[in-house]
Amino acid sequence: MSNLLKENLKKQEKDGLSSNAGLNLSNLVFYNSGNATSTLSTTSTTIANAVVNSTSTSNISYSNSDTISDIRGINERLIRNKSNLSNSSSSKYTQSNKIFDNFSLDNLISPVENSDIEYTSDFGNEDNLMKIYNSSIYDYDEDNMSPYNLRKKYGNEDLTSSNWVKHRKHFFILSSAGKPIYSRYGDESKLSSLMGVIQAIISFYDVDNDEICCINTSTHKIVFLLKTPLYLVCVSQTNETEEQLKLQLIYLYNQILFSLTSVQLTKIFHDRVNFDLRNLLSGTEIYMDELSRKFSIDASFLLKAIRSFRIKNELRNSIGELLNTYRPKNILYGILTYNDKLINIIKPKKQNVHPLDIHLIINMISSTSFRSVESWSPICLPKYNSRGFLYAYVCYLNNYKLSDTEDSNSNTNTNLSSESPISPDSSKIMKTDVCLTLLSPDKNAFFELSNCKKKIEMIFNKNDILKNLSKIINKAELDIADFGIPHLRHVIYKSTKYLQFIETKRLPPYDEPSSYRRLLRSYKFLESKIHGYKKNLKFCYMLGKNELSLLWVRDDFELYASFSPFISKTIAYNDLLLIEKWFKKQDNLFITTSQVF
Amino acid sequence: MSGKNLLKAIILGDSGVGKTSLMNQYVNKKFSNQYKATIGADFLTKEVMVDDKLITIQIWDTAGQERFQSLGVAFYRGADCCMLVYDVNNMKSFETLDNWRDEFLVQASPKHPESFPFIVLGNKIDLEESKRQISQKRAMAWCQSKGNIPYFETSAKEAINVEQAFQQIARNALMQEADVPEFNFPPSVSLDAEQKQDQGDCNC
Ligand SMILES: Nc1nc2c(ncn2[C@@H]2O[C@H](COP(=O)(O)OP(=O)(O)OP(=O)(O)O)[C@@H](O)[C@H]2O)c(=O)[nH]1
Ligand SMILES: [Mg+2]
Repeated sequence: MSNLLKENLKKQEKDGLSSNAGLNLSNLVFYNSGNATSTLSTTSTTIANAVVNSTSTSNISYSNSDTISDIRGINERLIRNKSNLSNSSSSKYTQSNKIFDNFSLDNLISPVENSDIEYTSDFGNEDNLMKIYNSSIYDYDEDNMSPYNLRKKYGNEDLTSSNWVKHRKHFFILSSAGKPIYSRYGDESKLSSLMGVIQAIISFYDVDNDEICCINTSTHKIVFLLKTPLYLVCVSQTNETEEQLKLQLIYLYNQILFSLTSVQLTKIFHDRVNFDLRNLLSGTEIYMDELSRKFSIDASFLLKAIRSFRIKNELRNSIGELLNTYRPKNILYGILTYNDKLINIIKPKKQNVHPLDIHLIINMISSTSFRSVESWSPICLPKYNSRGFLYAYVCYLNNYKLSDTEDSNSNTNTNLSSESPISPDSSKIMKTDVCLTLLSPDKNAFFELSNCKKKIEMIFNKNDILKNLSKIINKAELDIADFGIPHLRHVIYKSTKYLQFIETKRLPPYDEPSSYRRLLRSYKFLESKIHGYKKNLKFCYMLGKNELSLLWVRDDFELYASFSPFISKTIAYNDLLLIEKWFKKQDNLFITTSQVF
Repeated sequence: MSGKNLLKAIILGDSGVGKTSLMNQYVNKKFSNQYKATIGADFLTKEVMVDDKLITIQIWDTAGQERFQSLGVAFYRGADCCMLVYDVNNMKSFETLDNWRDEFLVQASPKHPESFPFIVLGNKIDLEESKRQISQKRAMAWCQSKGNIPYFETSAKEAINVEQAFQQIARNALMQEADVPEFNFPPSVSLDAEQKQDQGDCNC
């Protein structure tokens, strides 16, 4: 594009705006405002402004669905006169988010030289802090809704629905041809004009071999993840940072690979650019819906770590040993979970486990009603190998008394391989929340794995594993009372070495989803401050109306905690040291030595 | 093909021939005498029934004026059909149809260019006969020479043939759709192969 053209566009845009400001805005004009008198000189393609231009048909008033004027709202939000863009080649990145203009924690943090602990030195701006809180409070009843009901409630919204624009966080997935694939809210078909707009924005930069990453407006942040043949976009008012939102888009992208593999995704669009991917993904929307929801209410995704089940080392180890002894010949992982927590995992010696893959597996288990059946499905673990499928056998284990009581008293190390599994007395079967997942590369291995599960289930029962598990389930969750620290409300402890974390039970006020969401939001804020700060920041806190939340980061751990807002930061800081000491003494938090084969 | 059907339809043609007007007439049943050049692109969505199937047409209206064509190649990517529009009262707009078609085929590079679903619309037939510069015969001859492209004479103003034209292109595009790509199940992973180790691996 020539400079002349850009000049023209600029002129056109000015003319248009002056005469038609506020009218139907349907066309997009982007121009390089910094081009002529380059203020941001570091790169050749620094785009500082994005402008929506007004255009034809302004005297037509639209009322029915999917009209130009309906897109306007989005465009206006998407691209504002004063919005700033950050793009990959731009090294200078300015943030214009109003909240952060008014209140910058950076200003409050006074770095203490030669110390690994730094904290805010001034409580001054509490009003502004409260503003952050208030702006991040959700007023939806989403948390208590099943994904099915959620779809039912919001699934038919489109650009005209007044509620649609109000959602705090949208996720869109489209093909690089601009065809809709997924929208968190609303019917993606009806949003296809919007998808076209998104594609146009992306192509505009594509022409110059540039990539758009993020648009900041005073109210919204729009983050792009370009993974040709797919584009993923998040439009958020949640105050999460670009990095945090990008990570969420990466999760959604990996969720698609989970169902398709990268090989297939590439091949499909190589064969047919215009392919409508929804036809291959149908049935997996629920995974995306659940992920989108969990980003705001589950700390695993922020922490990039696995939630572990607290259990005595001997019990954890004997579970691992049993799993390993009775495992099928040809598997990748054997995974035992309790709800969303990992009890133990067995794996090949040379193979590591990536938390992201585990998150996708746990998301699959928890999103579907596997409860009473043995399920068998092809899945792809993107971090392990994005190119091929594995087959996942998933089944919840039953707790039962063996009908043959004599047998249960006999030597527990009986070799079972020769016997056929003893059928349990059906009247005494008790379902548990303990779930066994076995991953095999062999698509015909179902019966083998199913038999193996029966064996494991039985040997677990013989050894009272399930009984012992169910006994400690109440104690497995970390209780805030364990610390004996007054005013302490919530703690998350993450081991950086093991990439696992543990969290205290959600006691009041955090038993309320909206409060917990707020807490998580404040942790996210602290996380972004710690990881976004130039100097080696180790400690950060934030005082709000509802709580005092803190984050302390060291090489081997991250410790998040929340206190009553009425205690002083000094007390909280000293308490944090005690909490850390307490954690250091525990040996039952994480899977430290998993069984390998 | 199961459940969901969405067609990406691109409208091309010289500036002022009535592309935006045709789209507006089709989707909103509205017409305006005012002319505002399209800059970049306009997007509208319409749901239609074609042979008992619910189809979503995603309409990409482009800029006829060259200086406003800033969106580049990526824009045409993955189009399912293309509408070529000219003004029957404007010779030049007819003569450039060749360019628009060639340009599209180059940029979009569809798998089977010879059978790609095009449609030609001769617009503004509501104006007096005396102004007309291209006869129906001439236009149809051109369409014939390009592999039998369907031809419609339309008026965005009077809503003549607009519905029919879109219906036709949707039907033609769906016929192309019929050759569904083979679903090749990708191979299972081999456990023996060394997997590349990622940084964020868990040490458990
Ligand atoms: N009489 C008559 N006028 C028409 C018809 N269709 C469009 N017009 C007029 O022609 C002018 C141009 O129409 P547009 O639809 O904006 O043209 P366009 O092809 O979109 O032009 P660009 O956006 O510049 O590419 C407008 O003044 C319309 O009112 C028609 O069928 N009959
Ligand atoms: Mg136009």
